[in-house]
Amino acid sequence: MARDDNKPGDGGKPMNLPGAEQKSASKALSTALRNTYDSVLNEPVPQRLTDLVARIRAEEERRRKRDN
Amino acid sequence: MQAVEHPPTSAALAGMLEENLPALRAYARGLCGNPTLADDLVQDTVLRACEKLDTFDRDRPIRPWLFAILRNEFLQDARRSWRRMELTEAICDRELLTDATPESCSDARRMLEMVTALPVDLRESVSLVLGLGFTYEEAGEVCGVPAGTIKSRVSRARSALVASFEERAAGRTPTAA
Repeated sequence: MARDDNKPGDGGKPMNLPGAEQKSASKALSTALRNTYDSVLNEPVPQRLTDLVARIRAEEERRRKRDN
Repeated sequence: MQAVEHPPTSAALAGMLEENLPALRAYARGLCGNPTLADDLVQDTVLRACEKLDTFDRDRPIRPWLFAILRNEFLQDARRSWRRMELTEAICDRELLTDATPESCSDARRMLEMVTALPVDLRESVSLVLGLGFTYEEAGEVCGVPAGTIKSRVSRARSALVASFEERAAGRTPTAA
């Protein structure tokens, strides 16, 4: 996973947070973001999308058999 | 997430799509903010990928290609202004906790709403890099910009989100990113 150094001049920092607090908040934010996206990643994929992929797979199979 | 790197034939497309569906959904959710619209976007992406398969460079990894298709679909829809989920300040004020901190913000919906409130260029960068673990180079390939630009955008997005938490904790209206 990529890391971000949050260097001065590379986007700036909130003016009202000391460096150590800013680093801590930034790290916590990264964790919260990752957890948030993980929660979506772990959701079941909706049936309509799995059905769509299944239709694509079936079409590929038909094409492959036809080409062979 | 394990990306399929080099699809050998079109016969592998369904498997590659299936493997990337969860991440495509997460990226779409971060872009448009609405679960149903995000899944519509993924559905359109899958169909578009099938149509464009002949244009895919098989020497390139599949993941950035798929995510770039989704991004383009989103931007086209946003230009048509019928699918973009805009968060007004009033909605933000109503939905986001005034005493939220990054540590306390465990609610995925609220976190995604904060991401969705960012400008699109920051939103997509933070979604790909911090949310989904893309490298700066991969994210740059998806967004069509250099890795350094992605790094800068992620830093700005991170600062904006941290500032938003801080300002809300202090009871002030967050400033625009």
